[in-house]
Amino acid sequence: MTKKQIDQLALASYTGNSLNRRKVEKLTSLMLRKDLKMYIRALKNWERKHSIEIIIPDDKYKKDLSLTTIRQIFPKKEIKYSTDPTLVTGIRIVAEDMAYDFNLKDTLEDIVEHIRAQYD
Amino acid sequence: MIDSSKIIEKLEKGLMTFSAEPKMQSVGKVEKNTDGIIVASGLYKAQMGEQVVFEGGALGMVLNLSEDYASIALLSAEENLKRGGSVKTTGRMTSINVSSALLGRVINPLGEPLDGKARIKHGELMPIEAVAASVVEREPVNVPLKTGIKAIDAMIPIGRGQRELIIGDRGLGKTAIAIDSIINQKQNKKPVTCIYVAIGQKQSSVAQVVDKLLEEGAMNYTIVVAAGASDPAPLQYLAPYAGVAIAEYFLKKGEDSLIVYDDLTKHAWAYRQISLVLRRPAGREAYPGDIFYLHSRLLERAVKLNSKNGGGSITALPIIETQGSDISAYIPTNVISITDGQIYLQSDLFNSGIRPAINIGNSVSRVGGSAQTGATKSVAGKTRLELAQYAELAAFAQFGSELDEATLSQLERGKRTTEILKQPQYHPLPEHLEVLSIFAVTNGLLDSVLLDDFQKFEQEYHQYMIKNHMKIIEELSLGQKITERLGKDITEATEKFKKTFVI
Repeated sequence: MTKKQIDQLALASYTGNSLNRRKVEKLTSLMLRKDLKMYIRALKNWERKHSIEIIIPDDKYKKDLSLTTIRQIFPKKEIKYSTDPTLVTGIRIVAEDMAYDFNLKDTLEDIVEHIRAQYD
Repeated sequence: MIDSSKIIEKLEKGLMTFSAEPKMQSVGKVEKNTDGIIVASGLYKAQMGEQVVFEGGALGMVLNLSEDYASIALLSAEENLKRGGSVKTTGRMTSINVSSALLGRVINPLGEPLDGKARIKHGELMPIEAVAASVVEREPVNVPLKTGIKAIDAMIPIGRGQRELIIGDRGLGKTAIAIDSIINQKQNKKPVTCIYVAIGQKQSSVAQVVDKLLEEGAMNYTIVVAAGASDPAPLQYLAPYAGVAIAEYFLKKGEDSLIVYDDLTKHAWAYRQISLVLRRPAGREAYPGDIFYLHSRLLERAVKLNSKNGGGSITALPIIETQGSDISAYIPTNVISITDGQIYLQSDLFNSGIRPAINIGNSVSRVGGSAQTGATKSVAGKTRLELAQYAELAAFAQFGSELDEATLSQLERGKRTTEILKQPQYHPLPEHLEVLSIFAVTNGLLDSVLLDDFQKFEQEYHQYMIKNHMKIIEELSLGQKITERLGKDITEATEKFKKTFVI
């Protein structure tokens, strides 16, 4: 099977915005190992393109998030949440391969890099 | 002792220029790690050769871009690298921090110090990969780069901006020639900046080289870039490019530099390893298809710029190790076709005591007389031909037939010429002493000296001339063609010394 065919199958595995389990089981039972690897990769790519990851320091910050604003910036994307306490405060949004950092951890790292670049 | 309030004041001043704007970065996820090559998904905006940073702070360089993945060469050890970890682009091509503070230091290809001394001062970021100077920016090689080795300066002269390959089997003195060339640069009023790039060498060998350079006072104008045998293959691959990037910093300032690549055979092996792990198609001897380009783009960066572009130069001495004296193998032939000449070392000559073991017949400098001063040219012009004639005659004389007087004298002259070209390691000679020795032997002044006493004779002869005939030495130091009068003076002085020479 070509890559294009695999990509089309991956797209067809979705009903609406969610993965259809029955379709996936039927397709995977018919695939060779090599094609299966490409199919899984295509599904992962699709997931990445159609979702954004919001990383917050703690679950309690979820209520502070303005979901309306986020949906306006990233329409038609599924929102996934994860926590990373090292952010201290702020937020990190990962959309496809771009990361948008609005957190204290990143600012502190930038300060360190800035000082290192200035002084011997 | 610096006051803490002063440190705080400096930090506050530095932070005035800091901007805390939110950042956007291209990130990817680590999918696989195979022998130092990381396959990461995402990174759609990564460029070829771009520097990336892993979660733990390790650096990498993008080497392959495919539809869904980027292959990254890991440049430093990373213990916490795991699948799913993040990798970010930095937005800049792989480069090295260069400043004059690098002189006397031992660094790795990333610019990190290896000698245990202080951090390198912040200088200019020079790109590891850069386009070589164009044709219009260059000028022909016309200034000599003296190695201090008689055989090379007389018959295979090297000029500033030339690429001269040193090729031979292991243990024949290739590195010794390069080190002697570096040590000899201290004879110049303004020493040429020297860069020694050690690729895939043993750490003990690099330490020995550094020790020797320190002992001879050559480290003051030398930088050592080391990617040892235990360093990852990507670091060994980058080492020569890092070295020439450093040389280009000095070139921009209009200065001359000498760079030694020791050795490009190991560089080719490292690149082969990386290419095979990246699954690039393997060609002859399993080398990738662009193995020629690997060395050609490196060596093309050795240049002699015209005065309009600063007048600086980078002279390259690449070293290639052959197996079984086979100079027709793949990598040696590639590099021979790129360089402006080669110095071929032969094991037969080495074993018979001729050191440096240079095979004059197979060695050449395509720059030739343009890279010689008038003095050297006037005395060394006949030497190569005489040696070639001697080699032919010596083979003939082995048959033991009776030879006429002219042939016998030619044989004796040839033996003495061969003997005068021998030189101990770490003893490069200034030009005036080289010219003196070669003048003496080519003009028959040493025909009566016994072969066994030659080395001792030459040493004492040099000391005698410096002590008693400084005027001759000063005249020779000017580098001009030897006049008849000067020739007579040298002949008289030599005859005087011969009478006093005691075995």
